[in-house]
Amino acid sequence: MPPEDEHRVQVHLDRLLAERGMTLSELAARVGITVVNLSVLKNDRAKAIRFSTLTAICRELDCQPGDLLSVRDH
Amino acid sequence: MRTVEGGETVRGKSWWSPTDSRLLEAVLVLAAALVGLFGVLLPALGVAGLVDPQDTRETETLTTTRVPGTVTDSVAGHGMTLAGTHHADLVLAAPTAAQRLLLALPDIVNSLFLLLVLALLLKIARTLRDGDVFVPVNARRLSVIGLMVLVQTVVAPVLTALTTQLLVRGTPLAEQVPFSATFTGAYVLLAFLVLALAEVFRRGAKLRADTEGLV
Repeated sequence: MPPEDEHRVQVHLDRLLAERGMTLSELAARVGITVVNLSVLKNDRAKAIRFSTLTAICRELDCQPGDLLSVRDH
Repeated sequence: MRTVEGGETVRGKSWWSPTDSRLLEAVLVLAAALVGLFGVLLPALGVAGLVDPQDTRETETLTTTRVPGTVTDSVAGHGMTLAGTHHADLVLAAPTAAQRLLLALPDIVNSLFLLLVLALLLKIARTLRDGDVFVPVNARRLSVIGLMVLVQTVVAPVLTALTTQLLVRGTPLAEQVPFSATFTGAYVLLAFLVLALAEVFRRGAKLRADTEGLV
């Protein structure tokens, strides 16, 4: 497993939520995970995301994984 | 734990309650106290001469030690025979301080091993309070327990045999008492089982670390 300090993935959940006028708790209810977990993802504190979670978020926000995630420069 | 749609993980109700944890800790503390009292303190006081010292050592002999016939004669009339065993009790009428130490040393060392194992088990039990036993430190503790059981399996019989030889050295009994150490395969198996369990804990802790921060 690569070292954790190499992780530079950024999550754009807050932007997508704002564009769609949806709240975090509303998305949490639709996706079926807790607000706490979704908050971890929104605040870039998540270390990994399940494909099933990613699929559910993209389904509810009508987006692609690339819209939700990006890798920031050094 | 079970996983529901969306990747959320929820905890099922555990049958292990905080009361169970406290009970387990109390049992381990009690066991350690008993081992400390009867396995270390009393034998040590016996060596010091403050209480009745241990004066007997079970040993093996080359031949039967009793005068032949005393037991077999009594049962011969019933059509039975009693084969001579090679076990005997070495009894010291008035052991000196050095002899008392040699008599008590194997028991004290065994008890100290056991105390250390109980202390490590107690520390593992205390991690149950946090509801999380799959931590790297518990894997290390189990490894130490496994190694200690393995070492004790070898050390205990050798120490007993050595101290027995020292006790009979220079006496006519020395010819009758051979250097004999019996190793128990069951303890070796137990040690490997504990070491295997330690590896399970190590991998469990690593898997847990991998899933931390998983959404």
